[in-house]
Amino acid sequence: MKNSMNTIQEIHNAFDAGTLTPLELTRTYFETIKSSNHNAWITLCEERALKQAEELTTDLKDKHGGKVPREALPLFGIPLGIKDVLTMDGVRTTCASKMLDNYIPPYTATAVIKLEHAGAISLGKLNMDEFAMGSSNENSAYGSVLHPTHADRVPGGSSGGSGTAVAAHHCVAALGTDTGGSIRLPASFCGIVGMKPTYGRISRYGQIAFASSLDQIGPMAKSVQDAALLCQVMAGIDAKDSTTADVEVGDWFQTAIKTKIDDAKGLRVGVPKEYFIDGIDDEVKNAIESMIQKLKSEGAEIVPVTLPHTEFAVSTYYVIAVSEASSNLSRYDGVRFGVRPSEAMKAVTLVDFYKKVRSNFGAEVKRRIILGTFALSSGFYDAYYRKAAQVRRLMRTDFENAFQQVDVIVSPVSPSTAFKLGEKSKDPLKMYLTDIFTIPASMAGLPAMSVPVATDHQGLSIGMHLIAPRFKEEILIKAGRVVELLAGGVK
Amino acid sequence: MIDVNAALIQKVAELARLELSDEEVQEYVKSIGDVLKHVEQLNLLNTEGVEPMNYGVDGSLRLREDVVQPLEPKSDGKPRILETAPESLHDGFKVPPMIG
Repeated sequence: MKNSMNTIQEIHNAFDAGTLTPLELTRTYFETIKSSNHNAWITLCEERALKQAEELTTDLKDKHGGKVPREALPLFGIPLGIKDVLTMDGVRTTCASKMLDNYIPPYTATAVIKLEHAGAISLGKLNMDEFAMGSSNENSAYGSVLHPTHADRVPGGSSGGSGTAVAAHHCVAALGTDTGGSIRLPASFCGIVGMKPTYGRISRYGQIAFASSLDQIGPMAKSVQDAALLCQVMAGIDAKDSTTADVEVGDWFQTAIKTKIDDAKGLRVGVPKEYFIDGIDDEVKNAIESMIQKLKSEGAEIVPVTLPHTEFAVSTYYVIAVSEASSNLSRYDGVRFGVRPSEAMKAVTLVDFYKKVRSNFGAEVKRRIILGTFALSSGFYDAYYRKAAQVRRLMRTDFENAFQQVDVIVSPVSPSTAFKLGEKSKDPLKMYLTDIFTIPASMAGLPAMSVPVATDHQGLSIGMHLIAPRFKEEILIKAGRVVELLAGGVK
Repeated sequence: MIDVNAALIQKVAELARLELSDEEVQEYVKSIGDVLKHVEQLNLLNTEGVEPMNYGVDGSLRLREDVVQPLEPKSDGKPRILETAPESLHDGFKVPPMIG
């Protein structure tokens, strides 16, 4: 199959050999997308994408002598999916909310601009949890996304469309965003690689905000090398996002390509005891422990570490993230953009007008706005928001201490494999606890990755979670690649 | 421990400019009550003297020059930003008249 190739390298080799063109590849992906019932996409940009693909196909022959210009355009002719939280000039961007059903932004997210400047083709906008709030992709105003191989299960969230689209060969790779695990969880559930870089690595300009001190864009791909390449292309300082860091971006793609199993030797791998608690599925626990053993037998040094505030992660997150969300989502007032329902026009007071407009929010979004407004409200701020921000500092210190002893920390991504549709949607707290292992790295702004290492007895994927110190993506990618090789992934 | 009841949910919803049905209020009393009960665990920690971590980055943010960068207007000369307006009038966002 033309669209089941595993890496960008393989595709570029096929372009070089003349056995495939960007246009053929793009057409094949659209055929797959249209014959699928996963509900992974909200908006397709077929005309725009085919035009891009056609130009690149002509350029390949006329400008580049049939050889992919890998240096200048490292993503030449590579069809990607974009999570619908990222703006694209002239392309409908809904954030999976009725609130933005008609929103056509006049500007493009920096991350998307960088990918397209590197030769990538954007196929369309991927389904997600509304405003990126969810762990199962059941909170979309456009319907749930289905798991790529098990139709009765969730793909994980909030970047569930991205997870399913990559795993089901709808695109080579996709962009996700991660606030408390929204890249890593669906990557783990769908059996692909998901990477959340350090907070500040990739510009958030054009990313519709959920929790600004936590949100980060990252790649979801079939291999560590592709994730590394996308991350490298998107990373860097941006005048339009003052939180982007002026830290050198490495050649992470080459790092991934060059890494061998042998590189496990001397790698100091931290195993936090707080991540191997009761309540984890035995199969998940066994798979992760077995991978730790493999790392050990290849020469890695396994070091028990402690992250004592892990049990407070979900509480801390669900105060801080919702507080930031309640502030960020106050912009949806029906004045400058978004859907203004006809009832709003009958409102007699401004407050009533806002209420009618904001009835466009779905149940989970409203729940989080109420929680966040409460945590920030007079009389409760110190007990909730300030307290959580203090605990967040303690969680970050935990990691700083642990990284004195180790290069990378490993754990399960989630206590379970992909759960059934509807299984947790009636119990928000239970749903929130799904993110217990991914939240801490988000709170501390650390780079982290999910790499598939095994499947359970039902064939559902189990991901290993790797966390590195701030701005040490190089180490994360190297360790992630070793794990991928040991798991028998992409050669 | 905070008592999460219908009056509290209604009050906070009002602050957030959200209109809730009775069923929604009941559902949020339960689910938000559950979450806040879980959050109570933070009180087990002594955080005296701990500097809150309010931002994702350390130190101060980089500032750039305050320069207007115009968005190219549409072919009819209207500002492009108005394309997103639920309703527009001339070169502005149109809103319903409000008294009260």
